[in-house]
Amino acid sequence: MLLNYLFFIFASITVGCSLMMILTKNPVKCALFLVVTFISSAGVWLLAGAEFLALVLILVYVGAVMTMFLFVVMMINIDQVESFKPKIWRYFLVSMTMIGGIAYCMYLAIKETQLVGRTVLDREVIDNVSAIGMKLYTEFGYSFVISGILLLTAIVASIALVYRAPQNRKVQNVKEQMQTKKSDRLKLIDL
Amino acid sequence: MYDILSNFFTGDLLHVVWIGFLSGCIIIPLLLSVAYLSYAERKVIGYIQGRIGPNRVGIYGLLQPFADLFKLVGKEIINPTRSNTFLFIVAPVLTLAPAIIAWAVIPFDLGMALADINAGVLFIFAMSSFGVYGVLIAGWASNSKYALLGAMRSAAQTISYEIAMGFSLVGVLMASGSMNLQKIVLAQDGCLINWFVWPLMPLFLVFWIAGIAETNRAPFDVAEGESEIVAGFHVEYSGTAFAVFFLAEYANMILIGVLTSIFFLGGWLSPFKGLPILEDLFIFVPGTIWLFVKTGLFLFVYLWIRATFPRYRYDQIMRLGWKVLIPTTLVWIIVLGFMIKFEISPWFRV
Repeated sequence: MLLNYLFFIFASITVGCSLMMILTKNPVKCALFLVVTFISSAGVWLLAGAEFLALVLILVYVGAVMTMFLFVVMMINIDQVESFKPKIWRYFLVSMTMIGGIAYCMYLAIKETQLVGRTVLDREVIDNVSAIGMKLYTEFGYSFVISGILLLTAIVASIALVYRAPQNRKVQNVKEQMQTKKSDRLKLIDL
Repeated sequence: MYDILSNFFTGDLLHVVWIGFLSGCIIIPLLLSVAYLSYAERKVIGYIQGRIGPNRVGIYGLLQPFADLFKLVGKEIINPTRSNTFLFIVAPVLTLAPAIIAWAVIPFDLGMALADINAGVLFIFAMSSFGVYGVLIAGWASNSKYALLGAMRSAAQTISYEIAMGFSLVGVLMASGSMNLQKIVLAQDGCLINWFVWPLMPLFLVFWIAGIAETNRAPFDVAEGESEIVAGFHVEYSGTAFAVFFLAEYANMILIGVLTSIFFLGGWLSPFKGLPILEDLFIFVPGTIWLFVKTGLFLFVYLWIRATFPRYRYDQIMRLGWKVLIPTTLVWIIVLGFMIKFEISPWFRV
């Protein structure tokens, strides 16, 4: 079945690009590899029948989050960053232990559940978007609202962090700019 | 979408070839219209400014786009020193590809879409969010200050206006109750009073303005502002690579025009449907032609705006995006909620 091969293509791109993301030294290339990783995992989700999640992954992470990342990373002085050479072997043991720990936790979490042939949503009856909406606004209503409040707190906090009091700042007065007439700026003299 | 994909690949190869043929049927006319949109732009702006525009190559200058194309293809692609060659070449392709892929879900008439998927709006939105990567990568890979500045401006602008665009689409989704583009059009069934442009007027304006900003067209073309940063993100590009950027920009313009017609002007629906005499008079016009007429209207407005308005300053763009457009959409989504709740006719009947 061609669909299975497609899964393996997407999966190998995902794994390969995430490895490259860690191993590449240039931060801009790292970010671009992460973008490819996101896109190919969206492909995997699409094959699993989660079309809404796949498209939202592209929309939010590729379209917005990674653009901001790239935006910041491109501003960094590249030469400075490239001279920093990570010592991979020094931390090899620690990282391998951590990977083992995470893998064991994941194994514990999914040990009991049967993965093959089980879909979260009933695809036959209703389309993906409405099914997620139904779940979100009924069963998980409270968690939905709470995560919304968390995000709002984050927005307020980040604005509070970068806000400077409006003293001695040279900013345009928009209202004044908009209401300027020709007579304010231009003086006609008879010659 | 899963079913469509599985049909693609479990079915015979003939089906895949057939899909390839159908996409050819979309892409080739699209590229032709891009060529003639560039001709129309020069003619329209020429007449607005009291000039004639191109009139040397072919009758009325009609072969001008092809002359331009052959000139560009014949030129050398110059690779700047210390640039990233791979990304430098890939960037224009990354700009053009999403502009073309998004056409896969556009319905040209009832049942005339390459892929009639349920999450059509999301698909288009995801594809249009890809577009900024081409610009960003081009700006970075060129190893040029002007290009990088242009890319930065373009990225900031695209992110800001994508939010306003998304919110105005939320209004369309609420009004039509579907993300399927065909169902959105069918929800506007009836004569021109039933189109979403009337109950969603503020969202329509926001979508249109954000669409102009997304395509980096005047008056939002700070990303390539000639007078400040030469040509922005594509300063270093020449020959075919530049031609591809050019193609992508115009393909995106046409896409935004088609989308605006589908979301707000009833897509392929005739404006006179259900009216006593006019319906019979225009019954012979096929739906696709109506879609093209509406798209052409928006494309003309694109050119008209370019010839009329001066370029926005960077801080003005940001202010308009964040402080005017986004609040407008938020308010109108609430108003729309009430309109749907109280079933305002003729739009929101049960």
